[in-house]
Amino acid sequence: MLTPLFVTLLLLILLGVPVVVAIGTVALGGILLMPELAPVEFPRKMFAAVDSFSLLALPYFILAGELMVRGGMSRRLVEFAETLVGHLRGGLGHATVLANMIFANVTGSSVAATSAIGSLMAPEMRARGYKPGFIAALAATSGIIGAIIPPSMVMVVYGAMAGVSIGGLFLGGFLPGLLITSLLMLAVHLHGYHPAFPEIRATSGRFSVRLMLTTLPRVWVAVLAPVIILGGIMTGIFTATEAGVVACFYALIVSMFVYRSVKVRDLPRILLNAAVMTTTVLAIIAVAGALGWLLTYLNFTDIVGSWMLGISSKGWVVLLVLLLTMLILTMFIESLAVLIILTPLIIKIGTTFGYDPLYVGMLVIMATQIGATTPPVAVCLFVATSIAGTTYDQTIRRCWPFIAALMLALVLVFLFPALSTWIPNTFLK
Amino acid sequence: MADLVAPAPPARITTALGAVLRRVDRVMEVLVIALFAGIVLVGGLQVFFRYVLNASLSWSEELQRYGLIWIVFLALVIGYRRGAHIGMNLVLHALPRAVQVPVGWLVDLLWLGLGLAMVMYTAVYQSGAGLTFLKSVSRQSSAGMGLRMDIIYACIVVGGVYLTLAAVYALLCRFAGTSPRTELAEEPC
Repeated sequence: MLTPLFVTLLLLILLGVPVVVAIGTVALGGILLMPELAPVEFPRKMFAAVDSFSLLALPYFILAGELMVRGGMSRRLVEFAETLVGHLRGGLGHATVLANMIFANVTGSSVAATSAIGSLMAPEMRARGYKPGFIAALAATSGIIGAIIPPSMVMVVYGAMAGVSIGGLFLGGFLPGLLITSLLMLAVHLHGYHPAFPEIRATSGRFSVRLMLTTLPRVWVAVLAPVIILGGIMTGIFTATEAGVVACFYALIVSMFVYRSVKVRDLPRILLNAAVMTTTVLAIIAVAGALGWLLTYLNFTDIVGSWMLGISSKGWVVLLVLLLTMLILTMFIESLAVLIILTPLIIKIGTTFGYDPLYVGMLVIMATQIGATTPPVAVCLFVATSIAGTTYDQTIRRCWPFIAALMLALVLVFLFPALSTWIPNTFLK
Repeated sequence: MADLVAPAPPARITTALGAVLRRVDRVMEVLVIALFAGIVLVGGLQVFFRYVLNASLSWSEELQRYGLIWIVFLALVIGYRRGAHIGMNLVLHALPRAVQVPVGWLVDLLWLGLGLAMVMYTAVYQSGAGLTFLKSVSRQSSAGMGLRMDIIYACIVVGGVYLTLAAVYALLCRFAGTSPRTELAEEPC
């Protein structure tokens, strides 16, 4: 029963059927095909899967991010990042990465970061002779930081499904996010030594403290956002959900009264957009709840788990196999679907070998995000390709150095658990 | 002017259903916006009461959870109408037209199946005791606010009916060779 179930699921997703429909159909079909299962479990499990206070962090952070973007935050961030690193070799490349890092403090999604920062940087980079494929590849790969530095949609989803502290994952994402930022900037810098990239060697302008100080007041709100969100979670004042609510009010005040670019009449549309965006994720969680229940009934985790645990008695080997599997799967299949379906398996492997759930969580989140940005099927690369006005072939050609930087970050987080666990375990205990 | 050529019966049904559906869309959108604004305010109150007034609210968590569930089951269909659901549609666009067209039909048919299942197994299908799922939970009340649980679970039925309508309309449009989503795709989410 398991094999036909997964073959159908895979086929539907690969045909381009929306993930929620693919999972929902397989779950419903499976339940109906087995007469011993009550069909009322289909709606009941859908409901139960989204009935969670932790998941509320998702709509709240999405709404806060929408308010910030509509408020013109991303444009100000790009200007600020340029005053910081624009004078360096490959300055606009560095600025793209840096702007993504700061923007990551208000967004929880790599696609949102890619399109918000990428669409602002691309025209300027093109004007300075950067290769369109390079622009697209860099915009997409640095967009990942948006999902690693808190807040993070994928961390809310994983934390809620796996029963791992979302606040802990948020705090744990901080150092890996900084690591990815520095490695991507290193990759930009190294391009300068290659004869094919004269534009990266060029420098323009000089660093000006005065210019930086004049743009700083316009972005201080973005710099203050993590202080509120992370500070609140670190000191144990807020849960992640409550931090999300506070972020909403913060973003509302900033965009309405500081930037004055959001009016009351804009709010209904912003709310509706954020609701639909939230639902595109939560609807998948809902139907995955029904599928998960069916898979538990069919002993999926035990069957696949014992097979994976049989590979080796060493925890790190099994963990490595799991990560490689997830990397490869997410290169072809929508990453959220992969993460949600494999969550019980991930928990089983983590508890069998006694790993810190935050460490395992960060690794699987990074692996799925990197896989989702690696060709052939890579949402962020698709988005960035159209933003940079180039072809997918050109983007793929230029993406490998940056993918290598991301992989290196994953390897380092794998080798040094403290990168993902030190901050949360210091502050949350 | 449009009556110069009388539309064939299926086309007339499609037009009428489209008009109804657009009305329903507006109602659902307003409902979702109100619910979202509501849960954010309640969340704000919760934080305010706990950290400023040092008095926790008993009902605020529950209200936000159920508000979100209603949003999900209604906005699920709004997302379908706007073509906003996550999927690998770029892969689909790369496939030949001979594959794209049947897959398009298949997607709308599967949506229809899901919509019908949501209505059927919540409000129509009777278990061994002769009760529908909705009826069986009508005696339960929620822990925090004492709300009747069937009112909360009703979002599955409302969303299911809305989804069924939207899927039937999408299929009729496919039959007529028009796109059901153009008038709604204001901006991509």
